[in-house]
Amino acid sequence: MIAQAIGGKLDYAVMITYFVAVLGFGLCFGRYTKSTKDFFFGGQRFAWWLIAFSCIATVVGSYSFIKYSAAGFTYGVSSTQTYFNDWFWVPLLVLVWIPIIYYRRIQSIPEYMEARFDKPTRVAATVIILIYIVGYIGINLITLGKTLHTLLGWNIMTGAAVTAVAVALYVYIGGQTAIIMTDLAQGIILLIAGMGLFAAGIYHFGGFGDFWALLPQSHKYAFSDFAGPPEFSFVGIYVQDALANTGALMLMHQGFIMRFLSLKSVHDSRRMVVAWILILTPLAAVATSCGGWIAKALVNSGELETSPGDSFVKAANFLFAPGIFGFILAALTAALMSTADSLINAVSAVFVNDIWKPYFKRDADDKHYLLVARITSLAAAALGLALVPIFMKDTIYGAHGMFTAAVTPPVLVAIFLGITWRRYTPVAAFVTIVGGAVLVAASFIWPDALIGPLDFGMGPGSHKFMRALFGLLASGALGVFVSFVTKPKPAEQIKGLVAGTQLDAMRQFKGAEPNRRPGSKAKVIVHIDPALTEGVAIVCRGTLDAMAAEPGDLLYAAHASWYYGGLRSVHVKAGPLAADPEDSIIRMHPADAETARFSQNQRVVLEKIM
Amino acid sequence: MSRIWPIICQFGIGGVLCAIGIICGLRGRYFDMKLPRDRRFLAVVILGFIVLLALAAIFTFLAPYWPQGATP
Repeated sequence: MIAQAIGGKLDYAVMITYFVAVLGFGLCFGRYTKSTKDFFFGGQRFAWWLIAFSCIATVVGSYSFIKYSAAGFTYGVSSTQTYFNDWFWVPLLVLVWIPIIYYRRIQSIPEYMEARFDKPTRVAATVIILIYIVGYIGINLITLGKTLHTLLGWNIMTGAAVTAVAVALYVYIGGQTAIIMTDLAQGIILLIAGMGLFAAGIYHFGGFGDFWALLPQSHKYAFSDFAGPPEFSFVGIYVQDALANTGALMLMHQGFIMRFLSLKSVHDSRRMVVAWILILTPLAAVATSCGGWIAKALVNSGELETSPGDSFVKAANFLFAPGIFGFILAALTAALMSTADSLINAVSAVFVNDIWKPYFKRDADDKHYLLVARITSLAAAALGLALVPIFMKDTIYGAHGMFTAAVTPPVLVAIFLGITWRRYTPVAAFVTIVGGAVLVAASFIWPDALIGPLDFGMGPGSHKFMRALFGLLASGALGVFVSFVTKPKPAEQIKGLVAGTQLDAMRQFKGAEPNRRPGSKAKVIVHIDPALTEGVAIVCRGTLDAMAAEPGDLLYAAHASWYYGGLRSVHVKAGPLAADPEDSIIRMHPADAETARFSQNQRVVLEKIM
Repeated sequence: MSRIWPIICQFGIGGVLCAIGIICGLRGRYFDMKLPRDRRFLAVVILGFIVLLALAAIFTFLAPYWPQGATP
């Protein structure tokens, strides 16, 4: 990395302004958090586009710009291949996993494990997931600390502490709503910064053709070679990233689970994944990698000297004026904060749902759990910060990496088989998780014997990647074998928890037969009526007909201005038909209007959820 | 072939994963081909698959051979 801090005073000013703005932005959404549902899931009210932007901000981590630019500098366009393998998980995510967790009101992965399997599996999952997430908070903080140390000359601990305090503060006050709103801003910033660098590079070279001509031919392929080099082979990256990591991100990442549950409806998850994976992810791929491509072209034109690790920062520093470079540094910080905030909130959710509620205080009121959740988010940030000096010792950092590699494939396989295969048994799930982790751990002791046969002849240099393949195959084999010799749960007990029973989950969610007839949205005006029951709204026949809805259906009313993205909205149940003939009125209880921040005569858009 | 195997692997295994998701959706009729919005979503999944395959093909068979120095 660069030995000397390269940021100037103007860059400092931009960075500090950015920190203050993000903090203020996050804090101002604190007023929307009044319950644990708000704190963990933002009240389940957000539009698809908000969640898509926040997901991309979370996916792009603190080290993405540096790491992918380094790969782009060394290997070219194939540095983006990890971003283009997410789409294949979409049907499973949208048609199976999200309907199950949303309609069954599952709040955490361990909770799903108990509902689908049994308590021992939940305990195993809780321990594994907590170590996994808290470790990741520490890794994110140390990464940013190191980056700020390199760029601005700050002490590593100072950079990590400043970031941890800022993130913890807005998570503590605003919960998921603050995370989603700040991630929206941060997602936009990091895309603008990355794409801005790409555009500046193309402009500098005089057009795309001239830039393209400066890259070696080996840099122009979508994928790296199938089985080489060991540290960047296609097959190694594919099994580790496309299968293990992307699967884990979609199915077992508590932060993403909570983000999916923040959507206003399961149906919105379809638009969300299209926007996130098909539109924003390719942009993020270019944004994070282009620093390396531009730097390579600059080196080949004799204008720059750099190493792969410095390529992003050096290319940005070469092309941008002071101040704008500070904006680029802010984007790096944005990438960290938008990943760390989700992890902190995720720790809080797992602790409250899977430890505090079942083992310490079972039947307390929601205010109590909200307080515990808030305190836990501060504790999670503090714990992550405490890990920074520990992770500076490579052995501990490496140990967490090994732990992650050991537990990701088994937990992923357990969820995958759990949602797709009714015959998969509770004993098999436990054996998959614990036995699979033990087998992967054994692969660190005997790599040649266990991973060697699967490394496509690439040798020990590829084992870091190919271990994922061993883990998936070993865990899968264990799960399938044990399932055939043990007894599955009765079909009645896994309704709504496995593929083929999503409609049962919908019925449980609504408490009645779901109405799936296609309808349109209706524009109505709010009348607040204290005589009504909370959670029930009255609309006339004409409005219900437009939405193809019936009394008893679940409705969603949102502020007529789209840019609120569901921030001002509420779910209600359609009550008995209105006596008056006015088509464009919705009558609702003051508490529902207060939840949505609707005033009397507010214009809203009403739609049927189910 | 070392550049073609990745395409076969990514879109072959990827296709199987997509198929598993779609079949799991169709089972129990949660994903119902009688509903227009479900048919639309299936079309989007297939379209996304084709777009990604086209991108991979372009950056394997065409882009590396674009004329040096000329804007394609």
